[in-house]
Amino acid sequence: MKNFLFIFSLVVLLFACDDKKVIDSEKGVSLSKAMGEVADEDFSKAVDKRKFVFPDDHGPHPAFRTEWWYFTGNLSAGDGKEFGYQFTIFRTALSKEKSERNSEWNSNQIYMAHFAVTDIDGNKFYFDERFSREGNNLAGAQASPFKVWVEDWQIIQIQNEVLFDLPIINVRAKTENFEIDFILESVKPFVLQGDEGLSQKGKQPGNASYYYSYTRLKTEGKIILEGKEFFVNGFSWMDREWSTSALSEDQKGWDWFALQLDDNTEIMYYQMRKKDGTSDVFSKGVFVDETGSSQLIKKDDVVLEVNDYWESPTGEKYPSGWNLQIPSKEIDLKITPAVRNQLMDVAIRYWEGSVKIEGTKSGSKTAGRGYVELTGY
Amino acid sequence: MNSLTKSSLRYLIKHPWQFGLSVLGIAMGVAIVVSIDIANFSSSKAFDLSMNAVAGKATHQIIGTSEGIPDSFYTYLRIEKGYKNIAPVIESYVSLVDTNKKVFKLLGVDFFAERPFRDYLSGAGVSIDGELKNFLTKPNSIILSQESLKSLGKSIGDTIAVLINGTERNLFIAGLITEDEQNKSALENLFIADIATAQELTNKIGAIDYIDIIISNEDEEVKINNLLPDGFALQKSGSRSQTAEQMLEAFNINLTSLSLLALIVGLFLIYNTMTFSVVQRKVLIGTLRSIGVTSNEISRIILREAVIIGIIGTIFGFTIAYFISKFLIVFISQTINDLYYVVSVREIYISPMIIVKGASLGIIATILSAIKPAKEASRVHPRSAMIRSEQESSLLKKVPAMSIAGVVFIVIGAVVLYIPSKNIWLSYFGILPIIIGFALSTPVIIIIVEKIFSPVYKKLFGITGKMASRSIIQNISRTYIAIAALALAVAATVGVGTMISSFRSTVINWLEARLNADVFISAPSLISRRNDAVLSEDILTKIKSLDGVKDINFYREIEIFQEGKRYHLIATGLSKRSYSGFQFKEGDPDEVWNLFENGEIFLSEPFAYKYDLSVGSVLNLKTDYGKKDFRVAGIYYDYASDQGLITIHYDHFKKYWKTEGVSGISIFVDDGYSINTVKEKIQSIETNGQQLVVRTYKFLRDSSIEIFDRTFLIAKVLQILSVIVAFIGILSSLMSLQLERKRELGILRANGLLPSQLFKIVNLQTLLMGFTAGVLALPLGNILAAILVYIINKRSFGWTMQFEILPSIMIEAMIVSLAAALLAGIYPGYKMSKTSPANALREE
Repeated sequence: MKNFLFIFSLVVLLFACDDKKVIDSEKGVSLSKAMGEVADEDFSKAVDKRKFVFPDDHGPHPAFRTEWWYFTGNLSAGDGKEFGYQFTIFRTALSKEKSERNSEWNSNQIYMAHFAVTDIDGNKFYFDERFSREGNNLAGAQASPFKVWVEDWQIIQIQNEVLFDLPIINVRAKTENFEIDFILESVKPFVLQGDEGLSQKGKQPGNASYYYSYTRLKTEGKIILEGKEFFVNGFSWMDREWSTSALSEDQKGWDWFALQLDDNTEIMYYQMRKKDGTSDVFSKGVFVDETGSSQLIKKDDVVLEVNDYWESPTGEKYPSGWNLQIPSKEIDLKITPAVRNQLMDVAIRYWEGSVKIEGTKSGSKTAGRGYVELTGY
Repeated sequence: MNSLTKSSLRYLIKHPWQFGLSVLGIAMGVAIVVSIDIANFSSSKAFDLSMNAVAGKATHQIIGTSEGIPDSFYTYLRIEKGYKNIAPVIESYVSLVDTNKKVFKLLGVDFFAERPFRDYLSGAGVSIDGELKNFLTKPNSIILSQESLKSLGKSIGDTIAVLINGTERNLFIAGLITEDEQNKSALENLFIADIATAQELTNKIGAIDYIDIIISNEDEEVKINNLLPDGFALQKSGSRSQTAEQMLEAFNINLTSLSLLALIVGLFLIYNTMTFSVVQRKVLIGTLRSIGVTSNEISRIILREAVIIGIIGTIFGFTIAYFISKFLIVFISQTINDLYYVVSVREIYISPMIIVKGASLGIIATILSAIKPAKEASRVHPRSAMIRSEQESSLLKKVPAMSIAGVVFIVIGAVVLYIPSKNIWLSYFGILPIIIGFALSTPVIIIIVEKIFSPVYKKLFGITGKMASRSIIQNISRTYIAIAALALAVAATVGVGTMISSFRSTVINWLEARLNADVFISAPSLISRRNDAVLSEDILTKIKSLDGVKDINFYREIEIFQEGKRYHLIATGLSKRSYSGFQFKEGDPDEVWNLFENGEIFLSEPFAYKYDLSVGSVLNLKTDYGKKDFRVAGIYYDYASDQGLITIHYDHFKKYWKTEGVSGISIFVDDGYSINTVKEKIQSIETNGQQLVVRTYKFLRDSSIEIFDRTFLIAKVLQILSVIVAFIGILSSLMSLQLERKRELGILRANGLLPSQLFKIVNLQTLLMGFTAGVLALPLGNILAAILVYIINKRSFGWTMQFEILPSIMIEAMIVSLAAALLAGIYPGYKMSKTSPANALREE
């Protein structure tokens, strides 16, 4: 769901005079307007369904304007301390073709990375971002061996062993005061989102992305916060999406949920919000059962209500608690942020954070952990 | 306002000529000093601003070998070592291809690494308004400031033709840097390009010039130093601009000193004026004293007048300075661009220091020079007020003592100059007592000259001639100051003129010996005296193989930055026949070339002087393979660079430096080929767009001399300005002198002297004064020249020069003295001759 975010932040970072101000005054209304400033050119578009091929599709698709490798996860240390993390690498193309030039620095691909750790017990949120060009090996992506990197923030294949079409990978990123170093291996097959991997976002043809997810990856490793080391394990979620599309005129932002329940099932649901405050018909999601088989969730299958709000230090009012019901599956969940302030106050501001889940499923109690992303507030 | 002040003001107003000329004299003195200061300050400020804009917030820079830093090392620091606050930079210059050839700095940056460094490229309210896509992906794209865009008359999306390292390129204007008030002038001369574009434009594929880095503590500094390969160095980010400013130090001091010379002339003038105003009012002062005004009050009046004149003069001085400096800046920045580095000065900057210095020079100097006249005024005895001759006779009595004091001062000056020191200020300080000594000896010279000329004048012009000559001595208390001021100004002209001509002929001799080839080839360079552009070795090979090329010389010049110093290293591939072009100051001429071929180095005289090195010394240089020692085989005379040069054999250079390309090539044409044919052949070589500057011996010699002359243009301008000050001085004192003799001349008229005879007396007298000044100026001028040549220049730059006395300069000096004196006499002479004796004699 982050492609818009990425282009927008680049636009803001590099073109506007005062990034924060643009968001303050226009509060995301200008998402589509800002996007319009990057010419569409003749990038490839997600129009038809495609056959996903691995490992190739783990690598970049430079003919599409945007792409990302998205990881979130909820982890616990031996002593019961709980953590959440988000690590995402974004790619954007400035042009479809790279011009023939002599310098190694020449690039038409720009990379951005967002990195955050939530110290749930400490009620603290750490975040940072990086930008780089593809040139001179400063950033890049490749399918085989699998590697995506922005400088020393990296996702790297560490063994030849492949589980459910995904190699075992090392995710690592480091800033002055927080650091992660994890090994991830999938325990379920990939899930194709939308219509066999073609995820329609708006009415116009091509206003869609190719989208697949690994909804449960066993995660082990360490988190270092302010010099303190924690050995952790838990589960991650990986999203892969590429597209050339933009938000429609009438769309304002989205609320995205990735929920991992303790009974080894997962739910993904995103709600596209329109400027008039209603939810777009293109809102949808997926339910993944214990075996890894998935079912599409349509907007009408879901009742989503906000039960709490939180005002950010920067003045935006974000939802901060939800009730999510899927009556057809007898699912009734209460979703609460693990820490209220998980605001990604980077070049473009959004809320992305670890959440806790309680509720009932088919009449019996259930719980879980997940991640929520809120944009356009 | 009390009546005393009123009376003093009324006096000043009633003598507008005198008042005006003293104000003008001070104004000119102040103006010259201040304008030189402003011009120096503005050029260094412009340089600083552009350096700061380039350096941004970097605390240090990692510099690489002569080939720069490989791209991969930057990636290594960022990814393997995790350094975040680093940014790659390529710095170069481009000049416009249009008629004005304006120069811009080209800065190549990686936009994504810029955030911690250069505000105008990221965050903080300033960023790019243009198309990022073009900037990053379209070849030859640049962005620039709105101001620059306007001055170029272009708009976004246009292209602009420039010359980079002698190759013409069309730059695409992709967008704007938004400037604010602070960085406006610094960004005015800047083209920003993506690092990829900059590599392509400057032909530095695979390398960057340096890495900007922010280091917060010494531990980190040590850590980074340990990561650097041989030939790399970590240096503070200001050190590059510091070395650039060090280069200019001697140049600036010399300019400032020349300007002070003008002020000294101005001081004489002030002293002269104030003395006059006292003498003229003796009767008035006597009257005031007799009605009870105290001597303290009298001296206060005089000092107050000095303050008024000083303040008004200073204010005028600053106004004039503003205009003069605009015009001096052109000369100064031309010289800096010719000799040192590229700088473009568009604005005038004035520092508080300049104002304080200028104002204190103008006002305090005026007061100081008025102290003696004020004291004199306070001593006026009511009764003796009417007797002028008393003062004259008292001065005449003092002449022997003054002459002795004069000699003592000259000796003191000589001793100061004799002190072995590299301090230029000390040397200039030594000149001061010599000047004072000469001034003190002026009366005795006047007496001698008059003794000799009195009979001659009598013979030539009869009684009027004798009267004219005798009255110089009769009025010696005033005439000597006027003569001394004129003599000093003319001497300054002679001194500077002789120094320049000595320097010039030394340089010409050296040029003729050194440029012993037929055709010279280089790339177009932005700095005239240095070749900053490079030709590929491929071109060298092509030229070598041309028919008609008998022998070939070539060299490569590089800059080495080490320990906060900037060295120029010349690697020469000389044919044996060119060895004779080197004249050695130290080192056995039969031996040096063998040693040189074996890897020892030569130093130019200024270099050896600057760093106290001699034959046998060892110089440690930062090579591309780490630090290496080089033994000095010889010291040669060289006037190409005041910074000094290190010369090494090209074959040995290649062992220690990875540098590719040559800076210049010279060839000898085979007998049977005409120089022009070979020149044309060279010009038609296929060079891949690289422009060649192909010059013949004569052309190169002449253009070198032209640069030399351009360099000294500013000295000439200053010389002329100080003559103007002197002229104003002589005019005001002679006029006052003659106007004061109103009564005396009235009596002569009453006794039957014709107006024409009176006119003749006045003019004969001023002519003789001019002549006396000339007689004094010639020896003083030559002494000044000798000091400039043998002491100041030697100490400033380490150059040995041949001293050469040019008769034309002497004749010119005499003509200037006589002409100034004559001109100054015309108006008073005319006015006196027109005054009716009755009016002139009327006292009350």
